[in-house]
Amino acid sequence: MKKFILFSFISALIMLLLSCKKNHDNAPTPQDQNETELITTVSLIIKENGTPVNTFTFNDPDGAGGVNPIVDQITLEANKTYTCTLRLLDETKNPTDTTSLEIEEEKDVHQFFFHPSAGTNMSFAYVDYDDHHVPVGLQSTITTGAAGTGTLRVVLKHQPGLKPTSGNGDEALGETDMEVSFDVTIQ
Amino acid sequence: MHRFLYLFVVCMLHVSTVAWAQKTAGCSFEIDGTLLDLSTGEPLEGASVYLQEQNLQALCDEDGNFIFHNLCKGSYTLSFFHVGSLKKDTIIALEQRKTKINISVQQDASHQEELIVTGERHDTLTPHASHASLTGINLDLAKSTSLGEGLKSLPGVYAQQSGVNTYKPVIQGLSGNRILIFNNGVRQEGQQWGTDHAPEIDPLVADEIQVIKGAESVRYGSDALGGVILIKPAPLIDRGLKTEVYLSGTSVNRGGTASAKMDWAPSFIRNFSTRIQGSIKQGGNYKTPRYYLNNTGIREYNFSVAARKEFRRLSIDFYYSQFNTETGIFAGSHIGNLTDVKRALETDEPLTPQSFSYDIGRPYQHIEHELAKGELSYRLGKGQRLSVEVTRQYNYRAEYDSHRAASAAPGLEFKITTHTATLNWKHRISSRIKGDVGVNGLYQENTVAGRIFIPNFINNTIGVYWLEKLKWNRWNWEAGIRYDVRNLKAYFNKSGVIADSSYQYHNYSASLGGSYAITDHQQWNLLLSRAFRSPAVNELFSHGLHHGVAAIENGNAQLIPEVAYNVSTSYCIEKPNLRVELNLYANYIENYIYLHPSQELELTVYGAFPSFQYSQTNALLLGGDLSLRYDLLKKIQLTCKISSLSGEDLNNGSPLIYMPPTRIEPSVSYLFKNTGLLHEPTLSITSTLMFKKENAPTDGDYSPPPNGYALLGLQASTKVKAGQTWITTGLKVNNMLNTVYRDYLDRFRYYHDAPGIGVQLFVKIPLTLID
Repeated sequence: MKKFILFSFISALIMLLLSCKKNHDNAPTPQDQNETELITTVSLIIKENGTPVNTFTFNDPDGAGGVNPIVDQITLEANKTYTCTLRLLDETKNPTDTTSLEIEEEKDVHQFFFHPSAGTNMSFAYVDYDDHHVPVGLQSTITTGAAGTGTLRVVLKHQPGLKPTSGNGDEALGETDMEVSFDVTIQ
Repeated sequence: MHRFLYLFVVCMLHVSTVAWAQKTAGCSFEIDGTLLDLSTGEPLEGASVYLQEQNLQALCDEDGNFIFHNLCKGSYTLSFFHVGSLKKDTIIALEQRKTKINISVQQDASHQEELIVTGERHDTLTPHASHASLTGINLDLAKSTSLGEGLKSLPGVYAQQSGVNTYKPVIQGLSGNRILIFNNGVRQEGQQWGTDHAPEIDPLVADEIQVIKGAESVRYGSDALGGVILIKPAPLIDRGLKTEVYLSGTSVNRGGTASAKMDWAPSFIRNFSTRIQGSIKQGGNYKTPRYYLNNTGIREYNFSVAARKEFRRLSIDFYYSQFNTETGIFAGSHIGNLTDVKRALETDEPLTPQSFSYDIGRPYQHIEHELAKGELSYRLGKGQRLSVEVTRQYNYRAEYDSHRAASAAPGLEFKITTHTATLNWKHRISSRIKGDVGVNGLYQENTVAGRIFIPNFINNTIGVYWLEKLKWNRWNWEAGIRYDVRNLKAYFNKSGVIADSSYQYHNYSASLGGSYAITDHQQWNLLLSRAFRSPAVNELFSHGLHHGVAAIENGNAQLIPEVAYNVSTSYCIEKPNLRVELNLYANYIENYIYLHPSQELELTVYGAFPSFQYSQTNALLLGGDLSLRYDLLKKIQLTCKISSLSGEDLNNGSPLIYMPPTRIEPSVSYLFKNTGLLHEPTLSITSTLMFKKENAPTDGDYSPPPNGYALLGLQASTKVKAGQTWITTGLKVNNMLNTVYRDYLDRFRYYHDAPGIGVQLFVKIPLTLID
């Protein structure tokens, strides 16, 4: 009895020690810092029927911190109607990852919001909608008014389980996946 | 050896002048004794003393001392056990708190007993500047919450919170990398640098949680600039089979905890003891006075095994424990950028609808911590002992966020494995002088996956220490010195190119402490110490956006170690109806590492963020803790705890951020009469007055410190006789008036109120299956 108990105890101990959790990763061979998903590039592809395409880009190839991002100035003509397409890229990947395609797939939990400042005299209208007919914003229409200057802020909200299933969406919900600002001139 | 074993048992009863431990409401009689071997005059270290009526057990320390707290007037039976099968019973009448009795027992092989009772006083003083413990009912109540939350009730201890589930202890204004936690003697190593990384320890393993305030680096290792927390499990039993079941419920999150412990010392294996313990915990969304907090559920399961085998001179100890948790993080706190923080600040209530649920969704943390320890201890002779301790810890932390890229994998994953080895020689130069000399080493490997915030690293340290204690009349002195060397190598991978950088830090720590027994009831302590802490990995290399706090943190590879110079003094009175402990301290920290806010916002694709750079300054922390207890008519007990401190950045002439505000905690207890069925029934009304933090820096904080608040609570406890055993039960009502408040040290005060009224209830059922 005594030997049996002692034997089972020692075997249990050895089994316990052998079952210790182990780290199979190796510190001297770290994971590539660029492996995680990042949005490095936000482009507004704006065009008017019959005219060349204008692309305005916010570009921060090294992500948060480090080198400051390069942001284009948006210049549009007064009293015109444009179509606007958003393209989001992760250029740290090879080949480049087109984040906007993934957003298109997950449009039920994403929405873009456009905030032109008062002086810009421009307005946005959503063109694309998700499965519940709530706007997404990858496609939109820009209508410009009189000449003016100001800024345009574009926000992408990630709203898993929170995005409304009717109406025009709610910017207050969820968390911000992207928020970029452009200087705008309407001339 | 001797065919006949003669033993001299000295048992002295007097009011403790040693343990300035915080007491639970209840009786305050104590048994404080010393056990000596008659033939050698040596203290019987490791002998156990069992208090039958209370089912309490104490272990004699290196001086043969043992103590039982919080007893009531009455008659008690003490049993002594020791290797070499000494077993002695003696009955003690505890009638005065100040009764001083010596009991000498002579025993021979035929087990004939002789009992001699004389009166004598014995002093055992440890020159610690200040310490406080969580024991008894207060510990039992704390076991249904988390470690950091429970410790908040001690004077001088606060908690840095990230919401309702994440509490990091703050000792005299310092936390995180600057305090050390020892779980069953093992230095806890995980990702303790993170403000939202709570200690991975189950409070249910503890029989006592002790907080040592002040820079205690010599004994416990470098980095302990603020203090040390010791999680102490109960000693293993020497005979029989005992179980204990603990059940508790908390209404504020509809949570429950269940734990069971079994102690067994089989009679057919000599000097072998073992324990197995496990616990499960589950809680749902917390309720504040006005709304629920979505996704604040928690699930936890933990277990531990311990075993001890003693031979004539050698003892072998083994301990293994596992901690596993899944902790929900309030969904409204995982914000994307500064605009989101501002929106949360502008709204009084969370924007998303809040309801009760046990579900844990993203964002949440999954944490596993595993600890294994083996110890060999060999008694060389008179007061001499050589011990070797080897430990391994594995900590796994996965953080699942709700960002766009969220796949099934965690957004951030840390795995850290730590091995330590310690060799200690406990020696005794004379009956007055004894000490410890030792060396300890640590080897640590960390890997990170996902959004890289800190790099992979390999860290190793080695430290040598030497401590001596001197007892002389009413004085007790302790002096110690320590030297540590640390090597750190970090590894980086940028687009497939692997680089590394190496750092070496070395420095010494020293301490000198003295305590003086002014009278039998008064003691004065002074502790002077120097300690250092080398920069942690996050301070050197963290890089990027910290989504939880909406800030960009940049490490600084040029940092040099912090050096703390600490002066701490305390004065204590311990009388039958009065206890006072006043502790004053000054902690000057050279090259204090902190996050310096830069003036410009940094632009990212997520918007603009404030950015912070790890910088160094000289800091001075000044403060005091006061603890008072006064007994009125032997029925009513008034207590009050006051903690206050200020932290100053001396180079910039500005206050330090996140220093705890002044706190006052008055309470009144009524002690009912014992009956045949109830033992120590007590009812208390407690209160907490937290002042508004004045002069707090505004840089780096998105909202000014919240207003002060006052909370009212109720606590009731008793032991109930059920057959042969006494069941302990306690009830606590927190925030009884359902006050709406936010705490300065809670990072989530931007997003939500603190929890509202909540009832905690616990029962602890001990059962002796084989005596």
